[in-house]
Amino acid sequence: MLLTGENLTKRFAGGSGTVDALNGINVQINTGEFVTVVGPSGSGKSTLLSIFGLLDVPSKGTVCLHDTDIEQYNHRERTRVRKETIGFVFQSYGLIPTLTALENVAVPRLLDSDPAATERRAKELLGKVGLSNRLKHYPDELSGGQKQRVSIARALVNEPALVLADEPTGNLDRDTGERVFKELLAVTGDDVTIVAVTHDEYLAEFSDRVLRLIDGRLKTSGTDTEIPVSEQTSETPTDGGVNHP
Amino acid sequence: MAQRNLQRAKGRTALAVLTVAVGVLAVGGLGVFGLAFEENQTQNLGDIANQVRVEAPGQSSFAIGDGDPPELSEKRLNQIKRIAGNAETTVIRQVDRKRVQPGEKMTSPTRVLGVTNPKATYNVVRGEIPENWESGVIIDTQSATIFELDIGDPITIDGRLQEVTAVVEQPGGRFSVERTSAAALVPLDLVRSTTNPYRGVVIHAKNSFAAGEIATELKSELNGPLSENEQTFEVSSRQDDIESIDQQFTSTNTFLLGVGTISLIIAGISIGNLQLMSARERREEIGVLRAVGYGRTDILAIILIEAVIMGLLAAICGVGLTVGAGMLINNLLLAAPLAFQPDTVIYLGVAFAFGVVICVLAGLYPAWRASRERPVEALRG
Ligand SMILES: Nc1ncnc2c1ncn2[C@@H]1O[C@H](COP(=O)(O)OP(=O)(O)OP(=O)(O)O)[C@@H](O)[C@H]1O
Ligand SMILES: [Mg+2]
Repeated sequence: MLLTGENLTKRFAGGSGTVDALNGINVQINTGEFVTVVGPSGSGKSTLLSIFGLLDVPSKGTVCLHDTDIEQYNHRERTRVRKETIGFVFQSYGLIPTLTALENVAVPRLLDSDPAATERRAKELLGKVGLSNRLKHYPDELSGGQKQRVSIARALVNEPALVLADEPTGNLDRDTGERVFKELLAVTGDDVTIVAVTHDEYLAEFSDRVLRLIDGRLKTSGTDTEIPVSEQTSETPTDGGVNHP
Repeated sequence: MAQRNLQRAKGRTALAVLTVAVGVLAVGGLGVFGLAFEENQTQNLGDIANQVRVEAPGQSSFAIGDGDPPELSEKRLNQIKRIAGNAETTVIRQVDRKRVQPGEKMTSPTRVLGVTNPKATYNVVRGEIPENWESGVIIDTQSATIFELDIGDPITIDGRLQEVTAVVEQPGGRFSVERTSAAALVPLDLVRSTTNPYRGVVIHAKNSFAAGEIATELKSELNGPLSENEQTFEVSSRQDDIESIDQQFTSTNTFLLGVGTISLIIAGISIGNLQLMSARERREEIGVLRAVGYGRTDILAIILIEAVIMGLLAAICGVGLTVGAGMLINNLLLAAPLAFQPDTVIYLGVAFAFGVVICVLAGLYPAWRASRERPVEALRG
C-alpha cells in the first residue's frame, strides 16, 4: 500500500462560515495504481490532492505514505518527502517563465550537486514526451500541450513513487488533452502510482479506478472495493461554486 | 534563477537599480565633493595657512604704548624657536632708518632688515640667495625700481660695501612682519638694532593644523596671564579662518550626507516595494517551487540573492556615477579631473556598502513573506 487516507476531513473556516471541503474520506491506493478523481466543481478534489501531496494537512484523519503517518513530519521533512517521492502536474502547468523547457524540467534538482546528471535526465524525459527539439524554448514559445508535457517531465525528474496531477488536461482541448494524458501514462513507469483529477469522464476510463467525490464525500465505483458510505446528515454547508479563477 | 527573474522585469529592475544608484551617487558624490571643496579651500589659502607670525609690540607705526612695551629679547626668541620645533623660521631685525641729509639724493634703500633664512619667507624674482646666508644684500622689486639697482650692483650698508645678490617679491598683506617696503635685507648678524633686538619671527609649519597649534602655544606663552604688560606680542595665523572653514565644511558635509542617506532610504523602500510586488506576482511560481521540494530557506535565498544582485548592480552603477561626478567636481574646484583626494576611496566604499546593505535590508521582508507562502497555493491556479 503506497497511500492510505483514513477519515480525512478538511474544514475551511472562512469569513462566510466554515466549509467542509472533505468529509470523512477513506481511501487506499496501491503502488503502481492509476487512480482518477472525478467530481463536480467544489467537491474537494484539489483539496484531497494537496493533502496527498503533503502540501496541506487534514483537519481530521490520518494520511499514511509508505506506511508512515505523515503527521509526524515537520515542515522540513515534508518538503524533503515531497521532493523525493512526489511529482506534481498542475492544471496551469506551473512553469517558470524565465527558464527554458530543459531548465524547467531540471528545477526540482536545480539546487542539487550533480547538474550534469540532472541535465541528462531532463533531456531524456523531454525526449520521452516528444520535445527533444524544444529544449531551449521558453514556456511562452510552447503550446499548451507542450507546456503540460514539460510539466510532466518535470514531475518525473526526481523519479517519484507518486505522481499527483490536478486537472492536467483542464486547459487543453479534448484531443490534446487525451494525447497528453496518454503520454503521462506512457512515460510513467509501471511501479509509479498516479492520482489524477479530471473533469473528463472519458479520460477517467483509462484509469484502473475512479474515485467519485461529491460534496467532500466518496462514492465508490469501478473496480474499487466497496467503501461504505456512512449515512450522514446533509447539513454540512458545501458550495458548488467554481473554485478556479 | 534569481538573475533570470530580474531580467524578466527588466524595466522595473532598472528603475529600482537606478534609484539606489542615485542614492549611492548622493552619498558618495557628496563625500567626494566635500573632500574636493576642502582641498580647494586649502589651496586657496595657500601657504598663508601654514604660517605663524610673531611681532613684537610697538613696531607698528599705529601702536601707541603706555609704558615700555615688552621686548622680543634673545630669551623670548629662543622660547619661540622651541615652540616652533623643527618648523622653518625667519627671524627679522629692523635697523633704524639711515638719516637722509637735506638735499642728499637717495641712491640706496634707507631701511635695513636683518633676516635669517630668507629663502623660507621671500620669493626670489632674480638672482639667487646663497645657501650660506652670510653676505650679500637682497632687495625687493620696489627698491630695484626706485634705486635702479640690479643683481651685482654695489650697495653701502652701515658703511660696508655689499653686493646685491637677489631681488625678491614684496610680501603682501598687513600681517607681514616680514614686509620689506623698499628695505634692503642683509644677514641678521651683520646688523645691530638700537631699539628692539628683533622685530619678529615668521614660522613655516608643515600644515595649517600644526600652524594652529604653534599659534595657540605662542599666544599663551608670550602673552599669558603672567605677562604684566598691556601691550602684547602679536601672534597671527590663519587659525580662525581655517577653523571657520572647517566648521562650515563639516556642517555642509553632514547635511549633504544626510540628504544622501535619506535618498538611499527612499531607494531602499522602492526596492522593498518592488520585491514585495514581484513576490506577490510570483506567488504561484513560488508555490510550485515549494511543491517540487524547495524549502523555505531556498525561497528566502533566491529572493535575497535577487536583492543582492540588484544591490551590487546599483552600487557599481552608483560608484561609477560618483567617480564621473567626482571628476566634474574636481575639474570645477581643483581644475584637474583626476585630482581625487585619498579619502575619496573611503566615501566610495561607504556609499557602495550602503547601496548593497539597503537593498538586502529592503529585500529581507519580501523574501521572508514569500518563504512563508503555503505551497498549497500552487494548486490553485
Ligand atoms: N483555502 C480555502 N479557504 C476556504 N475554502 C476553501 C479553500 N480551499 C478550498 N475551499 C473550499 O473547499 C471546497 C473544495 O475546494 P476544491 O478546490 O478542493 O474543489 P475542487 O473539487 O478542486 O473544485 P474544482 O473542480 O473547481 O477545481 C470548495 O467549496 C472551496 O470553496
Ligand atoms: Mg480543483
